[in-house]
Amino acid sequence: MNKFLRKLNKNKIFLIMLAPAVVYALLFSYLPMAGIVLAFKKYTYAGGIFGSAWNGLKNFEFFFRSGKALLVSKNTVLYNLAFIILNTLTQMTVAILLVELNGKYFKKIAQSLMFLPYFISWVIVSVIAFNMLSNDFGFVNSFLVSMGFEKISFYNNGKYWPVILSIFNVWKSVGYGSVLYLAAIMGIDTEVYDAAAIDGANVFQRIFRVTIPQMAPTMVILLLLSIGGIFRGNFDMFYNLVGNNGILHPATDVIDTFTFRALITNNDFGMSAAVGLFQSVLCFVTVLVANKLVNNYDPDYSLF
Amino acid sequence: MKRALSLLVALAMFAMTLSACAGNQSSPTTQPAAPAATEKPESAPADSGNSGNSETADPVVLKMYLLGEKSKDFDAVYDKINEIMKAKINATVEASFLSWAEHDTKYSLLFSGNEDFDLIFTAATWGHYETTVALGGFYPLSFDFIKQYAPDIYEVVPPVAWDQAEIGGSIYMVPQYNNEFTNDAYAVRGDLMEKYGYSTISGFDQLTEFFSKLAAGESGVSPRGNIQGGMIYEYFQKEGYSTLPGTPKEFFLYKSMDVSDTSINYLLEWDKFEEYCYLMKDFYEQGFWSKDSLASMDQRQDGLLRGTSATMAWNLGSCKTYATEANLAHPDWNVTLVDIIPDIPKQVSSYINNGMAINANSKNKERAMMALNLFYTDKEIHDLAFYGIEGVHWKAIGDDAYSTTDRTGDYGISANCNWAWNNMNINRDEYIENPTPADIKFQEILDSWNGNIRGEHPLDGFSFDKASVTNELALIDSLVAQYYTPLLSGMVDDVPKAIAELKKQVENAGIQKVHDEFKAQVAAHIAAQS
Repeated sequence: MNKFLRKLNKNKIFLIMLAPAVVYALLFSYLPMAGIVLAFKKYTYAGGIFGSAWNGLKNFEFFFRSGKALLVSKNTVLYNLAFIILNTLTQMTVAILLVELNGKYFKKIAQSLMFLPYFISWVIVSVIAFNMLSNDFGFVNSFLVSMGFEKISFYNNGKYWPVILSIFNVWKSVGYGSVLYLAAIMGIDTEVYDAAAIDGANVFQRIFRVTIPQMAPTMVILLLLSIGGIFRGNFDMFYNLVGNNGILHPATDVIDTFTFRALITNNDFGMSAAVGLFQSVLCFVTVLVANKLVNNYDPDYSLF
Repeated sequence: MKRALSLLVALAMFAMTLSACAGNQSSPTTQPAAPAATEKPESAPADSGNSGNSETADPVVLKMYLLGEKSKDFDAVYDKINEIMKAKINATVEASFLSWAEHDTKYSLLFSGNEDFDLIFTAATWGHYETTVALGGFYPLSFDFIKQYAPDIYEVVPPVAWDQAEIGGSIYMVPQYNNEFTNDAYAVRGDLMEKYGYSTISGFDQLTEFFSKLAAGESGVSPRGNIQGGMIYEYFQKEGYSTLPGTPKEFFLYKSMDVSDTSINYLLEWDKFEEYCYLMKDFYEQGFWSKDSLASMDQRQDGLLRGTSATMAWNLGSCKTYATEANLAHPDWNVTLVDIIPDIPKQVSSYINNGMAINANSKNKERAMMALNLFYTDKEIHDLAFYGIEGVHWKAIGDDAYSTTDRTGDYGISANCNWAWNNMNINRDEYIENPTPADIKFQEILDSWNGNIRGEHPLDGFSFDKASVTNELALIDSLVAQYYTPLLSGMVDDVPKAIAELKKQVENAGIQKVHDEFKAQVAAHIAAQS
């Protein structure tokens, strides 16, 4: 006991620094877990979360009976996979380029400009997208017409949207994401680079033999974290860019937008909670499997 | 060591991302308490004798939620209202607004979050009435309760309105009392009508003929701009049908022009539906509305005001408002109003299209009802809530009319959700000294409509209890955007195929069960009426 207290005292600064994160996780991640029961209840205002009557598995019925469960789950996973791969590649590339660049001012300005889109809300992005892609007045179509080409009706054709959504997603997250990798590169021991220089390594050898292998743990951790959310669609993005435009839904509908559309008019908290629980369980399983695989490859890289 | 360090940095950054997200979400826009109930002087008590009453012995502050945005002078006007309320029922009202953008998501949170409030705006379908009733959010109003605490309301509101508000044997709202028409009118650019040789337009066919000429001859101005759902309501009106109260989208119709016909028509088996779809496909291909229609975020009036749409369809009042606004900015446009189906009798909207309800958890239900009684029937309070302060925001012309002043805009005419207690016995009409052609046309159409109201149909007062089919309705709602809206808008390649696909999807979602439920409830409703 005494020893424990001494240890506590010794590390008190660290513990205090840790406290906000622990409190945050307790309040917003662990405490609300009790609300999972809502997925199995017929919610009424009078009964609230715990007092409402049990409803068995009825709340799950609507999602699986819709005939859309497979399509929207598939869309969600594929979009997330595409985003994870594209984001990781672009963010790493940008981080390496920023480190290798010389001009101090150019570097700062380039980084700031790439960071900016992160602060633009998806609502604004959707307006920008509409003004670029609209059929009547869109910038892209006006350009095509002036070059003598046919107009492309982006908003009436689902096949363009995987590309459009990926581009906007990368554009918006590359600046912020690259900061994580920049931090990882800054953590690499400069002596390694000095040694490489003495051995006569050129720029490419430096990048591929030193920088990238040293960044690998960060990359794997970030990958695992994003895999943890692979069954959650980025509602903000899909809802704002696509909205209620049903023609695009076969190509763009994800679990979150589907649920939102189904339940916004009848406010059934139980059914929404059921879909949320379904997503959480799938995410949980995926992250466990992914972590296990990483663990088999190299235990040092795994999350737990 | 290095590896551990970079891990730590990565994790710390991740935690930052999390908290940044949280920061985005946690912007509670709880409105600060509106009118100051604090600085009420003590000079108010006992003047009507009511306050000696045990029911009104304790002063209370009633919290009221309204929809929309409040205008600039709202607080000043409600201070005046509170002075009168305080004297009459020893209560003051504290009003908060749920904005148009947020009420869809926030309305239910008020109830699930156990927010302490007394009165709230509600309306059938768009104003969350049936949904909130199904979840047990409103206090059921018995006739005894209404007669005791709001005897004047009981006098004014017609029986058919109470009938409309009834769900599962109980009434949960006080409906408004005003004849509003469900029929839409059109605001049309007069300069374009003249250009294509029309002095007036009467009738659907003439309108669409005009649209064809417009679409072929003009670039940059489309006949309808961005619209979602084609012209389905115009079509229903032309054919004499209405949507059944409580129906998902427009799936169930009844023949409102024929009071003896109480059968329910399922839209996809309705004999005119395919014809409609072909008609819309033709219209869309001619360019009556934009290819961006489904993606656009335009409000109804945007196209007309911006000059990219030659017309706007909305209720008569809104048509006049935006015609006036457009003409002020572009006098050469000469926007005028058109009744597109003049030969068909007009339908009065359901009275539960606006109303007020009492929160089931309210601690002052009786006083809330008394306050509602005053809002609804006390001429002085009614005038204040509708038009603002007399002499400042408006001028009284006799007992039943008003004229605007240069400060009218600060409170607005009927702009603060006061439609919830519309009472056409004491509502005032606008007196305009120098009417514009659009004003004259408005009055002309309104008079013709008032003289041509169709008889009451037994199903007008029907309301649907959806408790037993929530699963099915949720599924149907999720299909609408993909299979239904494009079809209604004529934006499909192959009409019969699209109809067949929609049919398959909604059948899979359980429309048959919903249909059966409607049949059963309609039969019960009709049996109860006779």
